[in-house]
Amino acid sequence: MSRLSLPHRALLGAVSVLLMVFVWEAASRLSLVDALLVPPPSEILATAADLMRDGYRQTPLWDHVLLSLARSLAGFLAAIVTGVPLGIAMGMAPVFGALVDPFVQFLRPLPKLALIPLVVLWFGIGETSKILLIYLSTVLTIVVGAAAAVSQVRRQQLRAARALGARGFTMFRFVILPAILPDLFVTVRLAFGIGWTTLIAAEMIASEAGLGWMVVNAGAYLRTDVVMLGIVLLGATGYALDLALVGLQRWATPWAGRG
Amino acid sequence: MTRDRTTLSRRRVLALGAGALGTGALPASGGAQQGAKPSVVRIGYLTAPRAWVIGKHDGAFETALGTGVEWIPFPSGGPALQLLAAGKLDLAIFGSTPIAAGISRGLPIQILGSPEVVATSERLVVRPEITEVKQLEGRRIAVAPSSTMAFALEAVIRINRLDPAKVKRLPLGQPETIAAWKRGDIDGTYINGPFWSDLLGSGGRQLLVSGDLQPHGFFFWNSAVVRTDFAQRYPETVVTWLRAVQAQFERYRADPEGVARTLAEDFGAPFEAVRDTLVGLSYPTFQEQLGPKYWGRTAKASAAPFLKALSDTADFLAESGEIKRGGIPASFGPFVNYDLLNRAFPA
Amino acid sequence: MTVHILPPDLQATLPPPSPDPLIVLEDVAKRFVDGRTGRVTAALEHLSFAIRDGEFVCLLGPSGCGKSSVLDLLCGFEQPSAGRIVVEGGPVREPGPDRGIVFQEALLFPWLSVFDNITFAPRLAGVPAALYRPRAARLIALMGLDGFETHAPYELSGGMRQRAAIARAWISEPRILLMDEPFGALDAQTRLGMQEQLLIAREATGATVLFVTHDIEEALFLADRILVLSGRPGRVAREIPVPFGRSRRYAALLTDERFGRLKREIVEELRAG
Repeated sequence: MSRLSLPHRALLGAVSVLLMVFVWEAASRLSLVDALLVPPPSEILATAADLMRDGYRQTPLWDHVLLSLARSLAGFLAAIVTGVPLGIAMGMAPVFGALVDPFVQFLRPLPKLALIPLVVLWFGIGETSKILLIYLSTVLTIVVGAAAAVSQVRRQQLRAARALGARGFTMFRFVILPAILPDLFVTVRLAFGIGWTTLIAAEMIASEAGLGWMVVNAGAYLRTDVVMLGIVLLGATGYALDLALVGLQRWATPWAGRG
Repeated sequence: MTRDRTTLSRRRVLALGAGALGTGALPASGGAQQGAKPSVVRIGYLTAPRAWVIGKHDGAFETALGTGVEWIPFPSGGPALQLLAAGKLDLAIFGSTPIAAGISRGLPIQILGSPEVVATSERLVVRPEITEVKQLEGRRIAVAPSSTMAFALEAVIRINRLDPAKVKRLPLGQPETIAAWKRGDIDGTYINGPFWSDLLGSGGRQLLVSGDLQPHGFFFWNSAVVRTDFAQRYPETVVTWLRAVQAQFERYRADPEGVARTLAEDFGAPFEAVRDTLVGLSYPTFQEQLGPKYWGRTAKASAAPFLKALSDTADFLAESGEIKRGGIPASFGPFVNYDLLNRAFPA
Repeated sequence: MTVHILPPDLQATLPPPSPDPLIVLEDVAKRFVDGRTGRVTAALEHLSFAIRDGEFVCLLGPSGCGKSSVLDLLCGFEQPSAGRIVVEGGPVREPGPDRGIVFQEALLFPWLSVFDNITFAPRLAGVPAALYRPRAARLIALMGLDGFETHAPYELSGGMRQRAAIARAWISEPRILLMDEPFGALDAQTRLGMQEQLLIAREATGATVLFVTHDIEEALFLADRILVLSGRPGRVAREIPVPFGRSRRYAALLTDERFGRLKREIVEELRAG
């Protein structure tokens, strides 16, 4: 398969997005779709201008974005800080892994929405509960990913390191940790995607601001224009953060996929 | 060979999926002749004890309408608007606040009176140390978002000249509100029955009920609502449905305990709580609703208290930023189907 | 590929192999138990040989004869099921930088530069930079890696990667170098250059080398002595002293009639075994 250059890809992407926006607007103008159900791009743009000027429900639009970002990043960073060591421990100590694994596998596929009543009961309705929900939805993916990354480290590579004198902590610090770094990045990207989608559920707990809350609340008043704007912002912010993670990944593990 | 087969089956699956979506998105189509009857009428109801829903148990609506009935529950007014917008509901009864929001958004629905008026079914319950409304300043009060109670709480603040910035309002669903109350995360809540029975049982103090706000011109009620195109296509069905609704309220008036008992079993709530919730609403007959204290008999009577209350509700929603001021109609009169109401209940 | 001239300080003539055995295997067996079926497979049985200090010995045999198991035992990755192994006067407990190990793959650490890969063991052991830097510089020159010190492993050719791996194993100046088909994955041209370079480096350091291969010509070119292993379970089927002396050149060997004769002999031996 022939590969496209980066500017070429970006150009084609932009053309396809513009074309989609044009068709969408035209469909609305020609009344092919109900503007109440699918507001046209021009209305979403006007709503964006409104909200940037007046805010949504007394909160400036960017504060909604920043608040959601702060919540998901807090939960997400906590998940990395705790999930990576736990996963590595599971991967390196098989007995420990076998003891912990049933809990991880039970909790991982659980819909996090089901946890909301318990989380509210145990941790209240403050920021803790919202961040905890995002944390819970990401940490298990990170644990499983980190454990799998450790088991992916090649036996021969570990033998070569042992022959050079690596043991215990030095083996972990100078061999296993860098060896699993590329896989950890993949896991972290995956987990971030999950965490970002949990935002809506998290912000259903007694929120007064945030992108997820904005989408749910506007939906209750049929403000489909605000809902669409919220979705565009959620998507764009998630996309931007993923790009940032890819950039970080390229910078931190330039050898990934070329070892 | 194998490859061909996979593409083929994949294509078939895609076609099936597109077909399913297509049928889902299509509005129920059919003739618009006089006297035409739909095969199934989709009736929406709030998942709370409601007297008229007694007709769901013995097929009273099927018998009256002569059609099939599909009962569609919704937890609050917001989802009801979404179901109506998606064309999944034909008729429903829910709160005045979401109705004002939906009409201001251009949702094609029409109002058919107000068979349930909130009196004591929605209550402001607070910690026992709060003894008067003035003390709400500096407290955290939970309230379900986009509900009549959210509007009622605003009314309390306005009537008592409280500083709106000092009353911390937390948007919270009813089950989460109970949990937050038990943890001591909130100081009070404006909540509907039967949920307040839990709170009153665990030391809560009832500060006021929505009926207390009526002398100040604030009314909260549930309206019957029909999708505009359904009303145009099946006017006779709508008329029959209105009379059937009225008949259910008559049943309740005749035997409140019996109806409460049946609904309590259905709802899975204590009998006493359901009975008290039902008592907490007043049920003016449609004849009364068409009188001067509610809607009047024509759209020209814009001074009718409930038309004015709808405008007030819409203004409040615009002020708080939920809806655009530009979308609010000059009068809600044209959105009340006086024609069908008069046909169902002549003067 | 160019063969690098020895740096002046390494050109002093080294003593010939001493008669003392540095590595001894006595009646060694290695058996594996299949975890699921419980069946026992013997990789090695009644294996005995000795290697003198400074000797270059090739372990030659068909694939699956247990050649690699011998190396695993000597490295300390595995323990023998029976028999005795003595290396430098003591038993083998675990792997360590006192025995340099080179695998078929370079197995360089992709996150480290060539220089950091080569100096991995001394840095890990806390050896002062002043000590390992000159050694590293010499090895880099010896292995023809000048100018590539700061490159990442994935920027090197396969042959250069393997040379870096040899330098990494050699940095701690081990008396013994254990090599498991180190040139097996390289193309013929590269392999030839690597073999010549290995001989020069071995001359320069005087290390004892145990070299596992299935390539008869490679064994004849490199070894002082060849141990031909039988098929599984592996034993020494035959021992062949190689008569070509040191400082060999491949072109010269090809015209030597003893080379062809020995090769035929080994082919016969392997076919019979």
